[in-house]
Amino acid sequence: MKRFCEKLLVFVFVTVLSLSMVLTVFVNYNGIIGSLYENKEQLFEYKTSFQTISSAYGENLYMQKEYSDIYGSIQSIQGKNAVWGQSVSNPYVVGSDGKLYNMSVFPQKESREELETEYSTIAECASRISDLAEKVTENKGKFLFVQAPERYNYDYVKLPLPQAKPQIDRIETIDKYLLSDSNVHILNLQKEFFDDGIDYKSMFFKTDHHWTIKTAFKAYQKICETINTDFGIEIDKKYFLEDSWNFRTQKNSFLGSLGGGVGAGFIGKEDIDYIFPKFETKYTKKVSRVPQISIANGGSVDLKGEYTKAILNVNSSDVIYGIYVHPDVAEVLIKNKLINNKKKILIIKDSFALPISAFLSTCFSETRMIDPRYYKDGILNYIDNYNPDVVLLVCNPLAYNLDFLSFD
Amino acid sequence: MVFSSVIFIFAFLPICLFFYYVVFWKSRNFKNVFLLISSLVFYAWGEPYNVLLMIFSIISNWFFGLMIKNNESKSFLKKIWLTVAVFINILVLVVFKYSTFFVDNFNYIFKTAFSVPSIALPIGISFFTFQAMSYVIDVYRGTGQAQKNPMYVGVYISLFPQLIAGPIVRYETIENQITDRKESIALFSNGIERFVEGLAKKVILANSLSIIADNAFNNTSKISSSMAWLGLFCYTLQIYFDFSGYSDMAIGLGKMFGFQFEENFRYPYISKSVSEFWRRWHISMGTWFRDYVYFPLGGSRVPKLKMILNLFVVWLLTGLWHGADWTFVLWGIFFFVIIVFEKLTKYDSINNNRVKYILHCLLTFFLVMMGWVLFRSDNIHSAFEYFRRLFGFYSEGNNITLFFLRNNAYIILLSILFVFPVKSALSQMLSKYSQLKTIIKLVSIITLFALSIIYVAKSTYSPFIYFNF
Repeated sequence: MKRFCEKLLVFVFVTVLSLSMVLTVFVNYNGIIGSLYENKEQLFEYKTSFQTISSAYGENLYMQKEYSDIYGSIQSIQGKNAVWGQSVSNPYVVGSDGKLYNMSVFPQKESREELETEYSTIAECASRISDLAEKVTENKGKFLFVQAPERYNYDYVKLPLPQAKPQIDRIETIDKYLLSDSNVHILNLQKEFFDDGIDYKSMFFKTDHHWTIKTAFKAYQKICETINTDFGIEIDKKYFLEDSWNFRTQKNSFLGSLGGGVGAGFIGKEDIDYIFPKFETKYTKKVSRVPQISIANGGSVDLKGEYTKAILNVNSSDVIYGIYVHPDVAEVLIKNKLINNKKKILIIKDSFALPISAFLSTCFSETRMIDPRYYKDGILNYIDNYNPDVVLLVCNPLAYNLDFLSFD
Repeated sequence: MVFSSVIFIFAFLPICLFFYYVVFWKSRNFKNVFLLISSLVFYAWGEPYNVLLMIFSIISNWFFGLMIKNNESKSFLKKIWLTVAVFINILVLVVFKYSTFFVDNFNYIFKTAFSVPSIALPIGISFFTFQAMSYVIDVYRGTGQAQKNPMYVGVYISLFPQLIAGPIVRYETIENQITDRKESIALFSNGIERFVEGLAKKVILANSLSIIADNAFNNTSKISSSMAWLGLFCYTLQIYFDFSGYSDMAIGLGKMFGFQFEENFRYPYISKSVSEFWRRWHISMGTWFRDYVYFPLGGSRVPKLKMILNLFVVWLLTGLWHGADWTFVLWGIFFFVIIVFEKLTKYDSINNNRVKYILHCLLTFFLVMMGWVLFRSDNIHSAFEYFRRLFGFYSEGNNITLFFLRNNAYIILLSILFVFPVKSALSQMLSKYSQLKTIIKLVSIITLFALSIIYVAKSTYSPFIYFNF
């Protein structure tokens, strides 16, 4: 019996190791190569090359997701309300609203100097937004600053870790700076949603830092109403009435980036909505070929067809928030062949604008999206050359920083 | 490369086993050449250019070994070659590990402004340098034979299972195994058991405990006294499971390739004195210092004052061996003081009843914990700030302590349990049912292996604490 058990143990051990290696290399070959390509600079730096290979291999281990889910379940069985991921000091915690938050155990209370710096940064952000709005107005366009709501709200959510109330309300502060600028129209969605009595808990995903697709649709409706009433551009109401759209909920299928940090077994997957028009659509779309370079410099990937083919990022194998248009690319150009209003909209955006942009593309002849994190060819020049009728700046309050709001 | 990483477990190890047992099965020499090459790759994976230092260490010590052997009959020359060998090895340590420390202190004392180029500490330098010294000293003493073939010296010094964090294998204990070892299914299977036990200690226990310890020690000025105690307790457990886990994995891997390394830990936290603790903790280092420093100085068979001086030298070196910082020096001196006290009062040999035994164990545990404050802190100032937090009754932030306790209660309880010799107690209980025992052991190891893999796949880069030494 002892000899048999020894042989069995050796067999199991060697088989698990070898099979995992073979399957990782052959099944996840593309993932490994993709990770290496993404980090090619570190790969060819002799100090970091081995570490880069280790990371690429580790990230693409065969059954990595399954391991992650079981890990989450083990944490859940222990009755935890916090799980640690990459950072020792920033665990993922479950708030009183059942959502995941990535918080610091020992948050730094900002010193007076730091507060002053933050105020001056927001003031500079406001000044840049004003310059952008002025440029749009010079080109006879209209400018709308769309403020996505803040996901963590001290007054609504209690966390298992003590959190001090943020000393600066970033939305309120930037609004104060922009209030006197007649070129800047502001759409404060946090305020709008509260005024409409929308339940705060339902605005955001449980496992992702983004708002839900339904919340984004409400934001889209608000934007259309504002454009119609304040800018005098007639968007046909049928395009933003709920009745004109199909809402399909895919149950328990979505695990956001926060959820990925803890594994589905810990918090469970959640529903995600696919919202697509009932009316007919016909598009052409160009997306930056090299994600972090403009189309003019790096070329494009071209798509065409109806909304579900051209606008939804159907190539993605996972259920991701970024299925709407394309996440993390410098530039996207969309032409709607069935809209003849000859109106052009330029959306300067962070990832919160992805579903909004998809919806807005049904209302304009041309929709362009630029992500300032990647597009480095000068947004003010872009506006001069493109002459859009409407420019939207859509971002969440965390993007009020000088890296993101850089338009020169 | 880290034993508990995906790349090691699911790439490096299976490839090594394949080549060792399939491709080079018939030739011992090929197996050794392969082990040497794979060990250098293993080292180069983390430190690409420091592998040159390793090669230098192998070649120079092989040469010194030969010179000592060639001058066997000329005791003066033999001694000269030994002195040169020890000097070169210590010089390597000084240059790569201590130069900044020495120059900084020199500058501080003499108000000078000498600078040293910033040299990254080669991982495991103290371990492989001590092994290299063991080779030349054993050859000098005649307890080991000098190797004519540098490959054998290379295998001894660089063998990847014990390369980076020990156990420090003395040459005389492994010499024969390099050229004549026997691999078997039983040994391999036993090696897997040890490897899996070590892996579980590291990825399930030590890594989880490190979260609490790191949060406490990285935020010394913000934590409450309760958090300071929890953090210290968790670090005490973490360093044990981290280091003994590594040693288990090293011993297990050694067995998979036919080597038998000596044990490095024997449940140190159940010691009833600090002297006993050091006979159970990092045994290979303690033995090294005993055999190559303490005994040559005269050990304890000398007048009391000389013995105290000998102990001082050993503990100063033990502290410095761990790191080039005053915290480690102080840590070494802390244990020197306690051990001198224990030796002079013959505390270690007092026969205790059960209550006294438990009290002595608790006192020893407490003293060792105090030592870990010095060991873990970044500098003396932080260490004293940590002591202030421990004994200062700071209550603000107690809810953070509760948060950590709530989220790690099971891990802490499990860790406390495995500080005791649970495995041997269970084995004893089942000794009458040998078949049942075999099956339970198999199922436990496979379950532990599965659990460990899940933690490995999920974990980020978390090197072993002793990699820094």
